[in-house]
Amino acid sequence: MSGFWSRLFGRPAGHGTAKSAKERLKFVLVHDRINLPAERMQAMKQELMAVISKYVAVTTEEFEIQLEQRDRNQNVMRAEIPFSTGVGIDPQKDEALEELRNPSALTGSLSHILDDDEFDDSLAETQLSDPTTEVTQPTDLNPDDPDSKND
Amino acid sequence: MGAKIITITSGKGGVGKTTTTANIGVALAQINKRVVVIDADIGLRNLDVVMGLENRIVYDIVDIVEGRCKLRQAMIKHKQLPDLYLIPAAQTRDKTAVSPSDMLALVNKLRPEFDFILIDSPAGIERGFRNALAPADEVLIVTNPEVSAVRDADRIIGLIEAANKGPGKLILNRVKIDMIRKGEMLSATDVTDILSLDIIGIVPEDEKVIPASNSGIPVSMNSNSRAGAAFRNIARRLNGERIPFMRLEEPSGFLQKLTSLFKTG
Repeated sequence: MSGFWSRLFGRPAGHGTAKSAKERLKFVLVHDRINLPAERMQAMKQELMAVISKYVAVTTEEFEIQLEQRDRNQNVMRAEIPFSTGVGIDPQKDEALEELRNPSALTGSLSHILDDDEFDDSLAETQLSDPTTEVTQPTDLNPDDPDSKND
Repeated sequence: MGAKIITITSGKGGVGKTTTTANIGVALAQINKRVVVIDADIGLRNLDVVMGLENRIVYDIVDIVEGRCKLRQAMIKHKQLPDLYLIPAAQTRDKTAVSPSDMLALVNKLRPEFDFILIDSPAGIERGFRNALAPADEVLIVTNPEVSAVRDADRIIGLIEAANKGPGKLILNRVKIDMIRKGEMLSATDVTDILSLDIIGIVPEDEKVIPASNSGIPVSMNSNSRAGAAFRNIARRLNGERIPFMRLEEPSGFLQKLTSLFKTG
């Protein structure tokens, strides 16, 4: 008897393998269209993580990238990058924190910016997990320009 | 006015390009259009066999291109439909025997004399496809409601757009309505959603198609064939008519379900 009723009303449309086919196709096609198969996407993720980590501390394990198709020619990339709370930020390099703790040391905390080497590079070195990723200077600096900063 | 040049392609092999080309050609001729169909699948010709014209081949497209015959000599006239012609592919050469500019030159000579020129593209994305695409005014992409076919269709659509021949229209072939209702087959809505392209025809899976090609009589000539009816509708749409899609795959209403309970099969 229940067979009668289920044949009458049918199974809900979302239950069969067609739904899975559609989802899988959407996923595969977005990657196909922008030439970002899984391997390339992994490599891109690694590089992105490295760059972002230079500026802010992020939880690399929860770093997610998704590709979305809105139309044939409208595909977007969404990245979710959770910040890690406090971890990885060296309090001695954090001026805001320094100011909060010790307002009178304002000049002291600002003066270390003028020591360009210490501020610019060491933070990057502590954050980069992949030792083969290079930290390069911007290439548009003219090496003969006396105003450009060299390493 | 000149002919409208339509290339029928797919990417994936075996989805029904040749059957579709033959049947649309026949259906257009049935509504009194002057049609020539060209088999661009050099080395693997099949349009001749599907149309029942295989034993009338004397010259083929490569003979024309290489100057061994005049254009008219390679054109096979259909016996039942006098305004329908076939230019067969060569069977012993390959796709490099002809170039995109050869195709353009050939089609330009035919243009003044016909209403429609249909080009049956080979599968793939290489030279054969590019040959077939070169003269197109419009492209029809044949696909099946199945993952590999849809994926390949997407790729071919991208190539068509890149060649500025886009956007193209879809023909969804070999549709099984009962599987769609059970959620086990992609629907036409699913496919248009995924590919972002309009559909010009939905052709149901039809047992009559194989016997038709067995006898060399395309299903469009069979008034009892649902696939034939679908191809005839596509022809009329290409001719500018507004034909609603056959009620194949809309979600079943209550009454339809009720009546199908009392039918067998």
